[in-house]
Amino acid sequence: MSTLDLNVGPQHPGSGHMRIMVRTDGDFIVEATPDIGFVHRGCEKIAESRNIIKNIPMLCRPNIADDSHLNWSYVAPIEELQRVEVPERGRYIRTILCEINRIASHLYGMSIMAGIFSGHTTMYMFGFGDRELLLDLAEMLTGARLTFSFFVPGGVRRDLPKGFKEKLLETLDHIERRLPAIDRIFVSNPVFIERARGVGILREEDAIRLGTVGPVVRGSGVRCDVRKDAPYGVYDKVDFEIPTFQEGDSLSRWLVRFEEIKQSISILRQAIQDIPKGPIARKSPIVVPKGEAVSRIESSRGEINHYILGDGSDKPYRVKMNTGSFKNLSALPFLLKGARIGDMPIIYGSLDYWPVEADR
Amino acid sequence: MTSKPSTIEQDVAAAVGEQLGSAAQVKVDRKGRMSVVVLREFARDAALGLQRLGFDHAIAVSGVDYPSEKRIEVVYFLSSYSRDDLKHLVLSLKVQLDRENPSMPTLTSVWESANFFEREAYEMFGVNFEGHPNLQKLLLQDNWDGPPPMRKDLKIPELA
Repeated sequence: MSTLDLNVGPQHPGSGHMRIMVRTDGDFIVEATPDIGFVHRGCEKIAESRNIIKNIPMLCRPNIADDSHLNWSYVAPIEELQRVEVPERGRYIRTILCEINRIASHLYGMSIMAGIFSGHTTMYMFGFGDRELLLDLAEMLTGARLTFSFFVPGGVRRDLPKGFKEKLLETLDHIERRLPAIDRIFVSNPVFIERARGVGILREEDAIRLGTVGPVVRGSGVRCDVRKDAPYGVYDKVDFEIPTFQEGDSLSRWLVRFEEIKQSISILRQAIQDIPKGPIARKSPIVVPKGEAVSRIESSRGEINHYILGDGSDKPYRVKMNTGSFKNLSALPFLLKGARIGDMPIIYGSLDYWPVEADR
Repeated sequence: MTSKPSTIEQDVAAAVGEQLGSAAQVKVDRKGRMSVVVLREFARDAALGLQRLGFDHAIAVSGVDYPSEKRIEVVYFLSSYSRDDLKHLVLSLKVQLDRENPSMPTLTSVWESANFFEREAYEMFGVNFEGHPNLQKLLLQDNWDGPPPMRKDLKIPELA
């Protein structure tokens, strides 16, 4: 058998730099080896020499599309060690920002996969146009479009601004009206369906064995979501479903994100209706008490964990970031093996892989 | 936030205790969090036992350096997709290693999801995972020849 080695990257295929070394036999991939680390910045090492508050912006930057989830995952173990409980209104505001963030991130991921990797420019324009409205909401609340750094140990930095509820409901109505258009042009579009269906099949047992998370594992039929399995914030007070698909192909992973947007809209409507009055934050000491804690947060790309050890000083002794993209990387070589070269972009896109988040 | 340990955590603790006896220290921290501490000799047995209990994937692996205690700890965070009553639980399996020569059998044959995480612990903490299918640098540059960077004795002047 004569094979040809292809070097794909290091390039920026849509969300950051990475490289895949591919061995091909004709049109088929015999072996694919991801080579990551091009955007490794040593976040964990830097975090050990910085005050816990100064760490917040730095540790959120690895995924600017998913800032609030990384933020929450970092402050949650600190709060646990400090034995500080976030007041209910603070938890509601966190949940609201995270769901706004999830819709924005899913629109981004769907646009990149359908728009960039399979060439449907319209989806790219649709997704990015609507995402802008959600970023406006986030900006109204936090002052930043993407890099919110909004959660501090003990609560959130600011209360909901005047007129936020009205603007949120208006935006949700708009997004909801747009979803049928996305459905009509893409979800029910035979060209897109044929492009993504049956491509990159990840069966349930493989999804579990490889430890994949988020839309990737749910697209393979595993019913799991930290928001339900180990509720945090106010996810135990709102009503929502976990969308899953049995097929495990690229289309399923895309559809999970599409369905999750609908669930997030529902969560946001409930949360903004039920939000109680009260304080948004409690005072928390600027130290990490001795001990260790690990968080579990369902980010847009799946479960993330921050493992934080404290030694009683104002700097963490150790911070380990475990991000959704790094966990889903294990599925990439598995899915590419035996696939056609032409399917490589769509498989990569369906994982919604974010290199910077994986490299940290 | 300390709550009374619920039964499933106690069940798991009892099962691990039964299997490993005094070789493992089992601790239930709170609902949804527990830890099992073992020496490297028992790491594989513990892993296989936990896998049989239903811990079907590693959600993360982290190294921790304790220079003053002359040890390196490798922590495997485990959870379950297939057993509904374990889904809320994160069990940390902590393997104690000698800092001078940190080496342990790989657990990728038990949990394939640990593969990339072990490579990261290898380059960042210098832990040798015996039998790992591809123990190479992952995030660091190929030409990095300094000490394992996440060890405490590597100080970065700009950050001091």
